[in-house]
Amino acid sequence: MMAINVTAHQQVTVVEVSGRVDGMNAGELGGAIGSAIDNGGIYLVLDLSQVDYMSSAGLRELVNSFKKAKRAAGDIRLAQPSERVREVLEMSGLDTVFRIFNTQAEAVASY
Amino acid sequence: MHKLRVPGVIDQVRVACDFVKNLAHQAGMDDRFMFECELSIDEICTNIIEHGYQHNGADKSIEIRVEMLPQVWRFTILDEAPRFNPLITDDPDPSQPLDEREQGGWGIYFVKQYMQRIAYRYENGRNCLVLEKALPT
Repeated sequence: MMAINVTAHQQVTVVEVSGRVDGMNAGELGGAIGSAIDNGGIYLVLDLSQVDYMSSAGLRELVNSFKKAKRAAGDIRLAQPSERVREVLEMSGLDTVFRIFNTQAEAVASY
Repeated sequence: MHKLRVPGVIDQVRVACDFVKNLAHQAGMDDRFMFECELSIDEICTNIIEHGYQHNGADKSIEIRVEMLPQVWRFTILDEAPRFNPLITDDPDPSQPLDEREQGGWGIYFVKQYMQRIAYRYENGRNCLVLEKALPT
């Protein structure tokens, strides 16, 4: 139901997620991002274009991952959240916390 | 009235979501109505499993009842966790800086944004949360 693909684009780590992110698998997403940060990939782009559903459990992992990246002097920037994901980001005020870009390429280029 | 009873474990949340989505789909509801109902059921059930049952609810249940009334759909969610009214906690503040935020509370906050009425009662040894969602006009 959820797939995660992590790739390196020079100094930027791109995490592409697809499917549904909820209480059942949000920890898996947090773990994947956390591993990338532990391995030195502190400049991250999270491509959410293929995520059609995210509950508060998913947002919690995004926030924890964001804090972890910031502690390592890095950042997590979001690319192309779907309408539904953008809606939950806005409801929780996280649209003003994360830098959000229209495309993955723009998010990568922002570093 | 439609009714579903599932064990209180995390992988059953999707079963509960599919139950509600299928009812909405069969009734011809639009995507927005389905999404708002699905997210609400997801958040309530996940809270019960994580906090009420402390991830130890395999021998306990969550029961979901759906009443399709002329003006609203009424969802009644019952669980056997210790008595707890989720409506007594303060709402989180979306404008608060991240460092000052308490973790948690967002699930029920989302439900409050999407439902027109929420009520809690404790009856026959079960927590009982009633949500009402107005039908699209």
